[in-house]
Amino acid sequence: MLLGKVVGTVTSTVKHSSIHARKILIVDPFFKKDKPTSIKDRSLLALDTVQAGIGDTVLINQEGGSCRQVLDDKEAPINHVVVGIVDSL
Amino acid sequence: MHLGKVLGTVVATRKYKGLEGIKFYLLQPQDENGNTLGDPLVACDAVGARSGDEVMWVSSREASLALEEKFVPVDASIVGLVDDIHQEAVIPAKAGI
Repeated sequence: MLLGKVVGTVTSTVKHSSIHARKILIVDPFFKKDKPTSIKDRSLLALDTVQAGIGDTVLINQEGGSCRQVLDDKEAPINHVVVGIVDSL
Repeated sequence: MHLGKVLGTVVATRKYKGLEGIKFYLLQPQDENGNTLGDPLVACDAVGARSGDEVMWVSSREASLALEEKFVPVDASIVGLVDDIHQEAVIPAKAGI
């Protein structure tokens, strides 16, 4: 799992049915590389399952199989889900 | 998921079985401020995006789950069109105070 900070939210009307009625958070991961060159190093979009908001430090699950388990949807095309809000590090 | 911008379309006549009827787009990954990140890639369309749209996309195995045919060889799919990005308000530093 990844640690990161929620820096924003995304609004989308036209989207895949599995994403409906879920908050989409923009998360800036901690411990990223010094020079982020790849999209995988920053700016993840993660679905919210724990009512996180902007400014929260969160735990991100970044594996598709477990995301489908969390969302209870066997065919959800999602590979990042916020699964916890960090109280202290 | 990641953010990106659709640069243009990719047309391929000869494709692997199961990919017929799927639209391909050239996609530039971006961050939330619109800065480009890394190199453009080709992504399938699952929602009806158009050139110039800001989109959300998924990579790896989940990309094929976004399509109607679930077991096809794709590794990036567009799964949503971005209407708006909301970020924490940045209060500019007051110079001289």
